[in-house]
Amino acid sequence: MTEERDKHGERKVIITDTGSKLIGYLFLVIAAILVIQAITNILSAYGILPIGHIFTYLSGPSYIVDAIEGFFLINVITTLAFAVIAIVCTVGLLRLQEWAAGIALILMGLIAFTMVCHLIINPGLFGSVSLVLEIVAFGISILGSAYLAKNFKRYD
Amino acid sequence: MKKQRIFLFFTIVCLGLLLLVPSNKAAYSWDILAYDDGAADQYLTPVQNDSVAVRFSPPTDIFKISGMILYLNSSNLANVRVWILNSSMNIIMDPYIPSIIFGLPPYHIDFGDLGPIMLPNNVSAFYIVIQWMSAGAPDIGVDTSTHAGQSYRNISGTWQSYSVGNIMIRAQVEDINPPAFDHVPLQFAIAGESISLSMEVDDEFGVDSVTLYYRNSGSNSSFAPVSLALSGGTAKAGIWYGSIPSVNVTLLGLEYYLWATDLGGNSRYYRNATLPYTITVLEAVPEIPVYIGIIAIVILSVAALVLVFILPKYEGEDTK
Repeated sequence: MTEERDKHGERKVIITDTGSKLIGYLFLVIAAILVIQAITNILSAYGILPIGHIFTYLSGPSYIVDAIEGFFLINVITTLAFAVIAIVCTVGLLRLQEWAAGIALILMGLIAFTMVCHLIINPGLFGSVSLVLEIVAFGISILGSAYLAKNFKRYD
Repeated sequence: MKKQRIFLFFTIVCLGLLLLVPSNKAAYSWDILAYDDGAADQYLTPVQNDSVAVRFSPPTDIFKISGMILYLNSSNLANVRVWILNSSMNIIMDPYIPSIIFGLPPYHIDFGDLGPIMLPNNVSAFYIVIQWMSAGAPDIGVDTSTHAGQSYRNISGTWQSYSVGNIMIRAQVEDINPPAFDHVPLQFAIAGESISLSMEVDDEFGVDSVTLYYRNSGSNSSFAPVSLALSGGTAKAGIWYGSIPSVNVTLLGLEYYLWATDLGGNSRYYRNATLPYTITVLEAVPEIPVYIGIIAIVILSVAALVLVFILPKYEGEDTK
């Protein structure tokens, strides 16, 4: 149960059901996973964490290495951006906001799509830790999407 | 005895052929700058003190003008002299009288130590000038089938563009600059997995070979060579690729350096045996097989589909 004020300044009590609470907190888990994934990817790329293979690609002609590093950093930045959006969505979903449900559906679709792309294009590039995290994020995303699709009216 | 003589004869013949036939490497150690197609369509007969010149656009790298090739109709070179001007028409090689050459044209004239060294920053063009010092000198070939614009003729002290075609003078330029590397060194590798190394190696005249030398860190053994292969681009600007076998990639780590030679016989080290690059070799972490990821995706997707069908659709309003 949460409390907020409507446009007239009056108190409005929102009773959040268990399913919506769960999906909200799962989104917080997704955000945590994405942050951990971004950090482990950076640490593994520069050999601090001995996982994955990305550091074996950071050699060769400088312009090729620059391009690989560029793509890699874009990947990390995208992951962090997803994490920030996931945190915002968590707050919105717990308050049963329609916009949060809409953004959450899009975000979960993107996370699921990214996961499948990573599995096709670069399996093992970022290591098993990243793969496990991505599978968990994929699971939450696809199951959460199913729940949200069926319960979208709760957020009206 | 007869067999020994035959053997001796063939040995001498073979040695002679080896000495006579120049190696490919020597043949490619320089580059020829030319605007004609090598076939004289007509001959130009200058009078005494006439001179002709060809303007050459040089390579962008440092180089030496080491000689020239002349298409004459006679071997009487005693009556001509040659010199070189820079793009500002200043003399950069003093007049040189070639020695008499016998045989059929074209004639190759080697400038030897006289040949000027050109730096890329101060040369946009150079001219090779040939002057007839007396009457009766040989005629020079003219190629009328190629595009004119590079040749000039000096008549009575005035340079005029030669519009008929190209006067058949070619320049021989020699590479004196070693190849240049573009390589970001590898810092980490995984034990038991082969290491792939690539780099771009550029040379104005062409890279002949690139060799990788490696050994385990802290080892006193000599560096093992690996010849790299040109995997992309051209010999002038290409990506060279090679690998260190997995058996040599141990937790001891690796040291490596590179060495390249160009077609002109110049060579350059990229680091060396006393200051090599170091690769830290990390222990391999067991990886989850890819099929587990695929199975997980399929199971989760099916679970989501099942959830969609099982979950009742929310229709009411729960907020108060």
